[in-house]
Amino acid sequence: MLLSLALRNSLRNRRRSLLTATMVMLGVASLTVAMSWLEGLFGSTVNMAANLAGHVRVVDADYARREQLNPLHENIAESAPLEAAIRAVPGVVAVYPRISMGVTATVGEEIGEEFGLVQGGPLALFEGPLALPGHLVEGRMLASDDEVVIGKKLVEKMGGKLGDDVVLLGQTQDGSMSPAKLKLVGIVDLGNAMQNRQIFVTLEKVRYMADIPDGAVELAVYGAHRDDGAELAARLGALPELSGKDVKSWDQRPPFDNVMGLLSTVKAVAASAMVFITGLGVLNTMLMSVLERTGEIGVMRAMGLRRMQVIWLFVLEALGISAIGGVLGAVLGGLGGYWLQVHGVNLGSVVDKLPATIPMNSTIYGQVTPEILVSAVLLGLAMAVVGGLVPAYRASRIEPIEAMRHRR
Amino acid sequence: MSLCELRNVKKIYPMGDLEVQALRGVDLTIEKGEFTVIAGPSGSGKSTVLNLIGCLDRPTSGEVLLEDRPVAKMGDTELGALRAARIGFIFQSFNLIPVLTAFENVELALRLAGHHTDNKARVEKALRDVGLGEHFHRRPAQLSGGQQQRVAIARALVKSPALVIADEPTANLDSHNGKAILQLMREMNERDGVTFLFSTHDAMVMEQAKRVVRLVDGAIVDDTRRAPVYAGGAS
Ligand SMILES: Nc1ncnc2c1ncn2[C@@H]1O[C@H](COP(=O)(O)OP(=O)(O)O)[C@@H](O)[C@H]1O
Ligand SMILES: [Mg+2]
Repeated sequence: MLLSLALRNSLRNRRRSLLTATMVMLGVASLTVAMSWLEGLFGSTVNMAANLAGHVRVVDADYARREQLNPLHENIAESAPLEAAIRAVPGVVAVYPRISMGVTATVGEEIGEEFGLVQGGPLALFEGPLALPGHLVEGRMLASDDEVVIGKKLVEKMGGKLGDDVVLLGQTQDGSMSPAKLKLVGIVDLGNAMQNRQIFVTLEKVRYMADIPDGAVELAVYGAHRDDGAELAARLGALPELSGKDVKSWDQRPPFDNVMGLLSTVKAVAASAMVFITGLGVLNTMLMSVLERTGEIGVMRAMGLRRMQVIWLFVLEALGISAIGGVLGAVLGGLGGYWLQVHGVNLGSVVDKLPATIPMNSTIYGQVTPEILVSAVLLGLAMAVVGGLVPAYRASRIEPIEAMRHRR
Repeated sequence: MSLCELRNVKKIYPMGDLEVQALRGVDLTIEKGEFTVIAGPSGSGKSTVLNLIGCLDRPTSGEVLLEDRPVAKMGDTELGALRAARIGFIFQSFNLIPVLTAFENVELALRLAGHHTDNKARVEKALRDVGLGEHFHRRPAQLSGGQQQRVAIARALVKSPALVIADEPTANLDSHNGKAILQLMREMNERDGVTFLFSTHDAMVMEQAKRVVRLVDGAIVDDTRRAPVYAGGAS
């Protein structure tokens, strides 16, 4: 009975209900677009970052302490036994030994002046989690220890081309000069400028360059999904073989330990602001309805309608109107998000200044997910509750005597 | 047992810094089966008396008893339930719920009074009793004033209340419709023994009453029981 009454009440002042529904629709639509945008902005970036970093990273505790300096001598000298122990842990899909080191890179005989970051690891790492083959713009993947694949920014800066000999100059773990001459066989485009200064070489080559013959600086561990990283890290941390090592999931380490928290805060703030603003709009129109219906609410109260039922009557009405606005808003916002997903927005130079650990694309595409659409509709209903409760409470305070006083 | 009773009831309304003495000590007893009119000029306190008897309001001092139970001792919830079950209201401006059809308006009263079985038959009977055999599914806006007030009467009577309270029920009707409505209520009083209590300042209404209580400035100045001029079946 209350439900049908609420439904009909929502249809009686159509223009006002339309206004309320439109407010909710716009609120939900802009939330959907904003969340799709954030998802596109961070979702793919985060995914790439997690793949790049490994769901869980194992390094020597001393390395972790002075990570910024990239102290190669704080390495894992014998990596194979640890890899085996890690691989035996349930939930572990893959583990790869890795070494990264800063070098200068040159084509031909000139003195090196271009900075690059060598990433050395097994081919399976490059072809699996790092997905380099998909980013090749020229050439092919590594086939031997004397070949190299380089990001396109660095290739440009060096003035190199496929087939050129590239000379890398780095340092071994004890600080000796360590040159290497490699053939450029592939050029990759990994999104932003810093990313495209990376140099990919085989594990054997980097071990030779760093003079860590049987070891690695880090072990990158992958589970089934990036979100399971922290759990996996806890399980790995318990291994006796890994005592004295620093074992952390990607989102427990900088910069993503901060970024992820910030991201959920940004989402929460945006959502609450929208719920609040739209809720105020709903409140305003619902309040008008309550004032207008004082007489008939009084009549129903005189006939025995309880206060709680009056509250329900108005909350249901607000919910009904907002549900329609919310669904329409999700559709509209979903279309907007889909447009972003197809066309994207180029952020260009802003993104190019980001460090390599944040592998963000210059062109940001939206990403509409079912979760986003569902939560947008739910937030629309939250707007209704926020905006409907105050008027509903006001209505419930109307005394039965208003039935007698009221003259229409 | 009297149906309801006011004992030395005073009602003061605050009006800013001033106070309006709406009732200055009213004693009144309504018996079962009565057809009573509270008459008096505008502002004499008629509505205030009805509000108190209908348990819509509480007196400033004095006692209100409904079926011998003091109303003052009841909480709002209990009072609401009592009102829903025992008292039918008819308002001057009909006050039907605009989004509900005639049928639904009547049914709502029945449901709020706690009836959930056999509602359809009861509602249809109530509407037929007030002469609205058709138009069940029209909304108030699609009915004339006289028809709306008939729906309001059906709504008040459908739950077989102990008392029907009507505050100037004919004031918004033309004399023809007013007469017919009053006739209808008289018939229900005669035939089914329903107790009615009105307020009015319409002489025609007073003629139909079995008892007229005259109110001036919040005090009863006259209380007369008499054989009414019964106007037969004129409608
Ligand atoms: N809610 C109220 N607030 C202040 N004064 C009121 C209120 N209701 C009624 N009064 C005053 O009380 C007196 C009696 O009113 P009422 O019972 O409505 O008279 P009647 O129904 O005979 O016209 C009048 O003077 C009126 O102005
Ligand atoms: Mg009055």
